[in-house]
Amino acid sequence: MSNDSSPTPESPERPAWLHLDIHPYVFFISAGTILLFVVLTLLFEQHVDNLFGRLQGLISHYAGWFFVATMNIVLIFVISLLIGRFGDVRLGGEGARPEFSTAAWFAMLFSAGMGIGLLFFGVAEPMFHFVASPLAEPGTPDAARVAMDFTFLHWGLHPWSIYALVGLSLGFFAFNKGLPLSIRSVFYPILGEGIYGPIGNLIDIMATVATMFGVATSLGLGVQQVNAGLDHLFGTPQTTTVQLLLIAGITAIATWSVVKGLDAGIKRLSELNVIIAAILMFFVLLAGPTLFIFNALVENIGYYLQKFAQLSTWNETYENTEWQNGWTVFYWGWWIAWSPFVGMFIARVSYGRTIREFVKGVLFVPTLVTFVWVTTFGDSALHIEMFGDGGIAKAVQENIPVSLFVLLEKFPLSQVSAAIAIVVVVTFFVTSSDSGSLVIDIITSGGNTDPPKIQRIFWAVTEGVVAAALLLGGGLVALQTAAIATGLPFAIVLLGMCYSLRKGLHEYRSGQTFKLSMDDYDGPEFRTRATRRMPTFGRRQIWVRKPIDLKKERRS
Amino acid sequence: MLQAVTHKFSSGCMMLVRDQEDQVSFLGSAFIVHHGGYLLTASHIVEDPSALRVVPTASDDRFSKMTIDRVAAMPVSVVQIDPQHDVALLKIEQEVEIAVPDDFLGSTENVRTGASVLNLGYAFGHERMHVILASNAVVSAMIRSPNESRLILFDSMAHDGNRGGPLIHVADGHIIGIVSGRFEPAEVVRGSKDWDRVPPRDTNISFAVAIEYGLALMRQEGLLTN
Repeated sequence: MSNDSSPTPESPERPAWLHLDIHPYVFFISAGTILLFVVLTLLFEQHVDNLFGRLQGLISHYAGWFFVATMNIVLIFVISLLIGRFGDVRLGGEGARPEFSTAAWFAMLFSAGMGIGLLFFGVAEPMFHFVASPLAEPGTPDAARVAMDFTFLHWGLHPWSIYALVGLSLGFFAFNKGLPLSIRSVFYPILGEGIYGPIGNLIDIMATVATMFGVATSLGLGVQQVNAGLDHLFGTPQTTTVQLLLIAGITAIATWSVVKGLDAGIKRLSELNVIIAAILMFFVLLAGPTLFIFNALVENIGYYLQKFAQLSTWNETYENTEWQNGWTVFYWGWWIAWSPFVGMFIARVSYGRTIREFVKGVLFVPTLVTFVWVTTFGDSALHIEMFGDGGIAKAVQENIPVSLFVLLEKFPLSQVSAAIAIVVVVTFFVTSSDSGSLVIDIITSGGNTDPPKIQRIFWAVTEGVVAAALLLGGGLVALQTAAIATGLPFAIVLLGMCYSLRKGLHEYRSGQTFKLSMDDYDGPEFRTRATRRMPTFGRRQIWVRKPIDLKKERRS
Repeated sequence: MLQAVTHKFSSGCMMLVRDQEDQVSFLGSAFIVHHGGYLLTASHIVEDPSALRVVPTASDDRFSKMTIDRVAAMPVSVVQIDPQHDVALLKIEQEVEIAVPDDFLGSTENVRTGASVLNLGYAFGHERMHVILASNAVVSAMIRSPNESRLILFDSMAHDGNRGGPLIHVADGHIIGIVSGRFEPAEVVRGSKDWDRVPPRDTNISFAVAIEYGLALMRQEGLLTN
């Protein structure tokens, strides 16, 4: 996308500094904080791990109900936007038109929003719930039903409603109100011009650091999983060298993609990614228990809808167990911690969509695709476990990433499908990594939707370096826990965002009228009087026939 | 829908009057098209461009007074006029702070017969009723007049004070025409010199000229870039 043909509003000009476009406070303090955290983690890994592990435990225990409530409030709010009177507000104003085709838009939404987790947990999560169900006798058909339902809950409407809220708020305040595309802008109705001050800087720095750690730690943990998969398939040794090479490779592709920009890089990779993932899914659908999967898809969706209110508000109050902290609350914290990143990316690619289109596209379509995906993989595994020769549950408990490959082994052509799976894993990593870098680029440039290339390279490479350093020195899990611990403050922020967005939309709508101030009028006042009407219908030149051009008439 | 559109546009509508010493006599309606103080109206009511003024009426919307005895009226001049198509562009001659919504001027391109339209104006301004009346109609036909002007016929009765008011496409909330008057085909057909004397027949069909003629004047004035 070139600067001059871009339909997206650019942020106001600011003096270039060494041909960079950076927000000095956000850029340097974020970079410094990231460096400091990495160094501290490398030096005191055990302490950091303990600190954040305990913090995470306390948050889950005491604030679990708050997460559950927040997720439901946000979902209701987003659905109210869908059916409410603001549905036809268009991101970017009336005249704006979408920058990307609907198919490309879905591909990017999906690749950034769910990505890698779905690939591993699609098989693993139903298995976990099947063998240790909180609400059914483990190993029974009922446990299978409940297992699929929990998986749908954790990957369904709730996470996407969080992304939709953040994406919509950012898009609205950036494209319709002309504020910079940055997390701080969302608080304009509350903070006013204060968003440009220290509080705004702090918000953006927090978002940058959380995004960096979210992406870098998943990259670090992810390559360990890819390595495990390669080991299982080809006997590739699980060593740091292999993992570092994987990080370098993924970072290189991600850097290329983010430098190429949205159109040429990220969009194409996302499309490719979704196509390969679809091939893998259709393979499993056909090679696996096809009829069982179709039956299950209908039943799972029906069960999800039927139990929706019950399960989405379930707090294990009367069971008095701690199961939920490790699953539902963990997921809620995770989605919320990722929401600045995914929401920002969604906002960036959703210019020109109406709110109704946006909510339909972000809430329902990815949810449905996720359901099909989870059913295909999860129910294939359940089928083997319940009616076949089993073994998946055991594999899952030993090593989550390997479970996908164990499943594929049960079907013919497993070498081919496993190779496709590895490609899908890598492309999913790349699409998370490049969209993460783009988001950080945009925030640290103060909201420029098309930041300079050198900055894109800087952040994409930094991501790889942070992941590599943590991989070598340890502390990946510690920092990931730290990233999730930011879920609690962000949950409060999300509720503020609902209020802020509603207020902003209301002002936007009521501001869309004619205003005329007569306060300055100091001219004379006049008396009004009745006036003679002027019947003039026929006198208007509209009704006077054009003189016929006789010469022209004769010529023809 | 109709309510939202009415509220959006009614504060952009003004009375067009002529200043006669300390009194003003009502001519018709006009509507704001640009934050620089420009309005569009029908050209035939400003054939005499002297001493024109516009009067914004306070629109608090709740049982307002029918007649305002004393009004503040701002002087306007005719900056562009196109009598062929019955449109005129006026400019307020004094400093005044005006805000307009984004993208409210439409085109007749997407309008089809049967589309729902809304017409705003001071229908009975001549009789000292200084209140905007909203009326709802459908596009009855889209025709070209004898001089090839593109006209939108709609099925609500435009009264004399409605002339110069906006015709709004309800579905997308854009102005698509400038109300010209009641449609009285008999008068055209007669075509004699004293056609004014024929009492108007009460058709309930009115007509507006396509907004494109108004946009052309704005373009000539440099208010539109494309």
